[in-house]
Amino acid sequence: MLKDITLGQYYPGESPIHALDPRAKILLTIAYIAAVFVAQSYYGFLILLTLVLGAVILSSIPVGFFVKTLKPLRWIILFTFILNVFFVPGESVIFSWWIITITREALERAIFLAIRLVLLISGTSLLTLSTSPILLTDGIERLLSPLSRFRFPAHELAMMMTIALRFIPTLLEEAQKIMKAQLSRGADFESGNPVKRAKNLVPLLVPLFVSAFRRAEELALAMEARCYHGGEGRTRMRVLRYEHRDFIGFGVMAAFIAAIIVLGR
Amino acid sequence: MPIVAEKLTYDYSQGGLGVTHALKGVDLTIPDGCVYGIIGHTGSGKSTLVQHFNGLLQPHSGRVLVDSLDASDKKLLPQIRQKVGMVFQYPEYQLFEETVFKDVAFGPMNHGVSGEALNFAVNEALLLVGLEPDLFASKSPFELSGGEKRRVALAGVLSMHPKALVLDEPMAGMDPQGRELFSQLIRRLKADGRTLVVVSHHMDEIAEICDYIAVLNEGEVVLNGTPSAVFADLELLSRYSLDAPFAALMAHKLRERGFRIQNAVTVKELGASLIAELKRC
Amino acid sequence: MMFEANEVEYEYSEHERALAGVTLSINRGEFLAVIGRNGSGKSTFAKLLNALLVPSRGELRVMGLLTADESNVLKVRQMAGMVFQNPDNQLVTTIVEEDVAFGPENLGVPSAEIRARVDAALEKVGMTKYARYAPHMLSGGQKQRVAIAGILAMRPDAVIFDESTAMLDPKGRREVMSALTQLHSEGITVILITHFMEEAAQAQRVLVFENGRLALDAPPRELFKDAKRLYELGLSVPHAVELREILKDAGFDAGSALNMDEMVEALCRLLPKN
Repeated sequence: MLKDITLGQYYPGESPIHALDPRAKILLTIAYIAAVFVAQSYYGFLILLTLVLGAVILSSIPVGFFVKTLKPLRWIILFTFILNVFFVPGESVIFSWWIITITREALERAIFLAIRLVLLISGTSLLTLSTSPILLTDGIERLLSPLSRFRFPAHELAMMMTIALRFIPTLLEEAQKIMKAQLSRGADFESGNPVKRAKNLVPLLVPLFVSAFRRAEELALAMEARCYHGGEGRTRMRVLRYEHRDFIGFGVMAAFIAAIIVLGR
Repeated sequence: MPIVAEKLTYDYSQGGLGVTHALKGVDLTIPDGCVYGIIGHTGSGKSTLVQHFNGLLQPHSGRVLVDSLDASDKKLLPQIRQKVGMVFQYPEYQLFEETVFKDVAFGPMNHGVSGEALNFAVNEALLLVGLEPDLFASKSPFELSGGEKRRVALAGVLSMHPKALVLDEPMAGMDPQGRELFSQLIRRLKADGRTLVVVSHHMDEIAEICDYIAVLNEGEVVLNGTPSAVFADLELLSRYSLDAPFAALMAHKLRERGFRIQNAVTVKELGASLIAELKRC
Repeated sequence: MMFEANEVEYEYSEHERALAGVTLSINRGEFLAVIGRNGSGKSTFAKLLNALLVPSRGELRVMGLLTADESNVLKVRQMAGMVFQNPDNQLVTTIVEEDVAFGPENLGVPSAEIRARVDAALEKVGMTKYARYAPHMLSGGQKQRVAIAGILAMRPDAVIFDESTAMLDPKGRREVMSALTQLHSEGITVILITHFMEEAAQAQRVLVFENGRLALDAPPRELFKDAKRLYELGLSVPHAVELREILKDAGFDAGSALNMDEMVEALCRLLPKN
């Protein structure tokens, strides 16, 4: 059913990777992304691949499952690949037909970028797979909280993310219900040209928005009734504390980055 | 207009976690012109079943015949949806037009009604639910009270002239007066010759308004018949996690205490049989 | 005194008066039901009790604190918690226990104590097993129990239920009603706004609102004596009372029975066994 969809595709587990502090995981992911851009050779990529694969194995997320989560992005990868193959200028032509010319440089560049994309997606994917949305939000909030001194709305941002995550399944279910109600009144969501189709969505979208606003209003009231008054003076039930394993994580990442700088540039 | 379900099955796939059998071979005939109650605990398959009656869901096997038309025939869908009106729980949440008139007109317009016939259908539907067209037709549905919104939503289904009407928890959240008005409306629709299917958790409501009842449990019809027949077996009801109407439970308790009281499903019936008994002594 | 209202009036705008002339007091530990048709002002009354609304005229005190005083608002809301009608629209986070922690977190309770309060609150409503669940996987009754736990974790003196049973199936309603009676038995003041007369009959005292005014204020046994008056107010009576009235019209007096068991006893006295 629709309501079973969860965002971020969290894969519950108790591995060392899952157990890392969410702040540490976010920082490590950022460091990893930087490393992907630092790496300029296949050696560098090999090192990064070792790192990701090692982490995936350590996380006990089945490799097959992991690869499947990358699947929706294959079109983007393919698109970038094709774009580069055909449009990057080069000299050593390896294939030419009609107006299509493929050069050695273009092919290399395309492969290079495709690998880089795969590595990027794998790293961030591992973060969302091994961290529950709520921990992720928590981590982001606490990493950004020093910025609230400069009026950056770290708490508000995190609260918005939490509420969005909480209400996505509810609203999806609601959309399905309204759709069925309008279908029963003879509405047609499937035929016609794109303009007509967009217009036909009005009977679905208006009630959905009205309902979302009503929910927002009621939720605001319920939050107020529970003494919500912004992030000021608020404590949290869960305390985040860096543990040994987080420092080990930072150490491992530093070692890999050093290796890339030495070998992979 | 009869609605017939034959060996109806329907499964929900659980996204790789196997399937849930929502309906397991349901055979049910809803006769023409009666009020048919469908009861069962949450998750028993009631909603899944009624959504087959106007082709919102397609059976995985078996079939549904609406006025002898097969509801799984895509070409017949518009016709079937015009014949079987569907009123979901909290139908007021489906309102979307600028005016009450336009909203009530949405259904008939989708079925090609226009001009004077459309005016007539909308006004007739509004009157039927007790809203004066002159007062309400040009108002925005969003500025009405909760009870009025629900009646507009109902009018939006009635304006298609459905021969049968499926109502899912029609009285949910209503105040006592609203409930009373609603049961009057149901009686009026029945007198009008329409077939009504009512899904509800409220046994007293069901006992009051229904001619027949089917009990659904784990996707199967486990019992059907008149209210007095269905509510006679309290043990069976509790096995399916269902309540009994007040009168049935009370009659049962009185019998346990040694009184000769006939089965009753409404308070009025119980009252009458108690008075008869009291007078006899 | 838990709540004290003195000539409380509330208007949404100049022409829309929702409530007027409400003067009453509610004792600590009382179980009070509030009934009235839609738009009678009962929900407005509920929202005034925990300072979600502030009287336009008159004054309302919660444990002696004036709700109109801005500096009392948080304290008032902590003392008088509120459970709403729609179970979906009052849970804030994606995990049950995090949601229960929401109130105490807002109050600035230290982390370790929040943990203890959350565990105790979930235990009290029988939802410990579901602590790590996502709210949308729960039934309506379970969601309402989580909402109740979220209020309990704030250690309130009173809990107001604003039609919290209206959207539930019979099982969910029973779950909420049993949690509610348990709270009352532990000395918490309970205020239940409802359309179900059977529920109102379980209270110690019932308020009836009509057109923004307090029309009746009586214990249920007294209130339901005059069934005709309630019908006039657009309300109904419990089934037992309905039956009692039918018998009364036929000349048989079944006393003041309010529920099925009392009715059975009353009939046992009237009917000879055979």
